[in-house]
Amino acid sequence: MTDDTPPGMAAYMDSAAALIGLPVAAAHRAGVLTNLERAAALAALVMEFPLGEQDDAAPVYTP
Amino acid sequence: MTAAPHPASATATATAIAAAVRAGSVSAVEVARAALYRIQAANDAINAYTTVTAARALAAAAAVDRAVAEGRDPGPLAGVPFAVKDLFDVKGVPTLAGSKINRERPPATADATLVERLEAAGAVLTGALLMDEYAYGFTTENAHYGPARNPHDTSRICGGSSGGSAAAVAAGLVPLTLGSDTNGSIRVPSSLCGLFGLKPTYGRLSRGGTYPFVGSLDHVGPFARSVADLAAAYDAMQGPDPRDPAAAGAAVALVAGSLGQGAHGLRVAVADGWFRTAVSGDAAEAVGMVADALGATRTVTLPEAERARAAAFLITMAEGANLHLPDLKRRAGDFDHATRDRFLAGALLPAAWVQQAQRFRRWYRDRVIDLFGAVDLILAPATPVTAIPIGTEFIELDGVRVPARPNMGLHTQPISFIGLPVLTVPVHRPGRLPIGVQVIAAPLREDLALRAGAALEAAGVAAAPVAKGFADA
Repeated sequence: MTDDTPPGMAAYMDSAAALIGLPVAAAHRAGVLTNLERAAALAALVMEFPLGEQDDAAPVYTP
Repeated sequence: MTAAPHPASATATATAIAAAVRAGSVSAVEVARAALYRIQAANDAINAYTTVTAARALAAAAAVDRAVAEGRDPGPLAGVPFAVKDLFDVKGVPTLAGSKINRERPPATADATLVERLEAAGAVLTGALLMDEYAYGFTTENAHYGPARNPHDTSRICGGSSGGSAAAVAAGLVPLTLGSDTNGSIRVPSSLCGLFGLKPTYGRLSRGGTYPFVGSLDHVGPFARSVADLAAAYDAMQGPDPRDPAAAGAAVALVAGSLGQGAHGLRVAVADGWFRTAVSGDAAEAVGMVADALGATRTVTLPEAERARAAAFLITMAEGANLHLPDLKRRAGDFDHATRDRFLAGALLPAAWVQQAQRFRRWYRDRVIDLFGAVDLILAPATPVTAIPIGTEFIELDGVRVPARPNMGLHTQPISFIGLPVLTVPVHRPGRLPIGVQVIAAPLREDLALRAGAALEAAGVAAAPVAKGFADA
């Protein structure tokens, strides 16, 4: 865990992992946190982009 | 003028092999034996193959020879030795997908659809090829099986995740291999190993009988040392397949006959913005050479390409992780250390991020498709740099030190994100490490990209010679 880790990130990791029944071994925590931080930075780029109600998800289901 | 290479030699093309076998001037068995010998001699040095199907290859070659002897059509790819990334099902072999965990799976009971189709065309399967674990990598540095080594310099990476597929062709072991591409895994190894690689339109070629990674983004496609070879394989593999929902209605549009139409009249532009950032001198030079040869004087902007790459990254993490969730829960330690923490993190992403990424994908797709109203082909780097030494953790791009591995796919990711067809062309720079350029077309216009590739090849701007040290086998 680095100084840049958002304060809630480790707590989120633990809660989310517990919620879906995914054990995160002690040896893997740091790596998972690093990757969550990377994902959060990329997600910020996606989430800040305004989308309208016409912007449906790309995949279209055909029965 | 150089004499054409013997059809059983390392430098023979698939097209030449098939012509010679069909004409009865060389036997498929002789070609297969020679390929198997080269594989055995070279595999320690480049680590391309994870399974060699020698008995099957010789039996298939013998069947081709019988067809020729009996006056039956042996197929357009008669006797052409090929191999496939080890996420393609090969009957009788457990589909490893670069993992340790999959060793425990029962052997595949049927071949992948594309393996069946290539065999039906007369091609001869020689085995399965090394990849990054579960396709989650751009370098093919596999903790379980070792790194794939670049035949042009075996201290360097092949790229990934289809590193073995690229190594086998670059070393002249076989003239044709198959790989897969989710965010760059055909285009990156094509670039670093100096090959022609085709990532077709999403849904064009069937993924039936392949081990998946990201259903939203996975593509499959061929590697070869000539555009004609690529086109012949691509044509033999086309057609709908109910095994793959994305390819259930795949249209057939044969290309081999139109390659000679050339690139004259095609409107070609160079992608700017994101595609001009984090580009080494080598990559910029390569794009410039292709642009000059195709008369591309203008640029085009793919809007929000950085966001597209970010969205592709999130979708990849989430879908890849969900696929592996049972194993992540039970045996995370059995994953490659390079994939494990990324998959674990991917399983925890908020739905809001992933759903928004899929909605942004629709917006981005619509804007990029609009661009093809005014251009036929868009050029972009295939990799930011040439092949880096195996084990490299950081590279410098635009004066900034960044992690090497995820940044290999910087310029490929925004394109596969929306399933556009891409031909990677290896730019001919004698004495230098290989590097490729993406030739990007509108959906279902593989024909235009291949025509441009053929023109570049004819002009000597693009070439894929067998790596020095392997060419005399």
